Amino acid sequence: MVNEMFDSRKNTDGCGTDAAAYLYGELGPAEQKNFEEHLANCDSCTEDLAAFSMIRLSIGELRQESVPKTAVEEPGLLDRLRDLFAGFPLGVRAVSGALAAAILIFAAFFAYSLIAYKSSDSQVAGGPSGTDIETRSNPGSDPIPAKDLETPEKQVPGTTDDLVENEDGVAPQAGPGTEEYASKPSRRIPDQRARKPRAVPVNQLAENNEPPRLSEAATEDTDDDSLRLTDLFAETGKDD
Amino acid sequence: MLSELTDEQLVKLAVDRDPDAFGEIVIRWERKIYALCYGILKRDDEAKDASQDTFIAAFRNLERFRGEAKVSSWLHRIAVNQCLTRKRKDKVRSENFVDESDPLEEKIFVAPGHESPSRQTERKERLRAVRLAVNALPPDLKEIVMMKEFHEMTFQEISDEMELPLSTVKSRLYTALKQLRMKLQNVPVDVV
Repeated sequence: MVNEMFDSRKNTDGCGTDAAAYLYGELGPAEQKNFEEHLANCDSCTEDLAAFSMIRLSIGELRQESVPKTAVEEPGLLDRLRDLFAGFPLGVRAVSGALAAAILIFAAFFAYSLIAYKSSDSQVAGGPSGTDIETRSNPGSDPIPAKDLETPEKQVPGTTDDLVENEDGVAPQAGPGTEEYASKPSRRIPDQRARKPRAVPVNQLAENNEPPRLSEAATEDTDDDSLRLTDLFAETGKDD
Repeated sequence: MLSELTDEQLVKLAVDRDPDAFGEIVIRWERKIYALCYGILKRDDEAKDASQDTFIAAFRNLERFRGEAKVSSWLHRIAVNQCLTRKRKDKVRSENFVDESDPLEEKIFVAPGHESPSRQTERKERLRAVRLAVNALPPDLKEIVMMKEFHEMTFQEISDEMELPLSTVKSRLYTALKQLRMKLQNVPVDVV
């Protein structure tokens, strides 16, 4: 179906596909040489190449803006602590390490004592035995009234259900576990390339062929332009 | 003032020794010429040098510009020639294993190291326009663009992955780029 759709708009520009392949450095040496000779005399191909290069440059900027949002440039808490301590002299680091270890041991001992005290206290007061724990839903406290068990909890905005609903806005991909994924033979794709966007549902993708108007964009999208890779999919509905 | 003039008017002013007129041409075209050079040379430093050389050559040959072609076509032609000459030189250099550094040339069109607020705004608008244009592509074309640009897959890898002929993959990408070009030609900021 897609192939049929595509055949009808197949380009007839001849050297056009070569321009695209040249741009991505994917022509063979002989083809590349031929294309460069052609390029030196073809204004149309030069214009194409210049325009495509500009588009690539902008897409590259878009891609770069997506990088800071990932964890790559954000150091974790441990990294930051490590960096902090790395600046201290060795003696200070040794003392603070010993101090931290002592605090941890004390905290562990305190927690253990608290648990031991509570369990002995509940046994003295006729607390639940092992079999009681299995049958009661809320050990160590008053039984839950029957009405509370029957009525579902009131939904509060921002609970897990809302998050799931929000995540539906992001186009699901064919990941491990899906039928499509399982049915395809595994192929060797280097690292990040395996995260391909091939299973994006068609109904979530924009069909708008109108040229984008910046005034619309300014009103629709007020946050910054930085973009994660999946945002290009996720924002289709919003932008149109 | 100068920004309201056409390229051809600016060239005339530059020929008449208006020092700012050619600067305006450079501001207008440096990004596009750099992109073209990068598209051919695939190296940032080489592309920067080639785009500078393009403007130097254009400046030196201003009086030869007869106005028969558009200034953009004229600059593109100079840029392509600069790049192809560089490539040929590089090839000869690598074949001869001789480390010849380029003679020190005057670099007069250095892009500013920081972006002015207006440039930043323009950049944001440009990126937003590109994002919208990519989103508006038909799904099969958008998929190819994403695989190529964001996942950096080769045509062969895309072809294998999508079980499509290699020629179809190339052709779809070309169509996608053409469509992006058309969409982006109508936005107020310079994208293509």
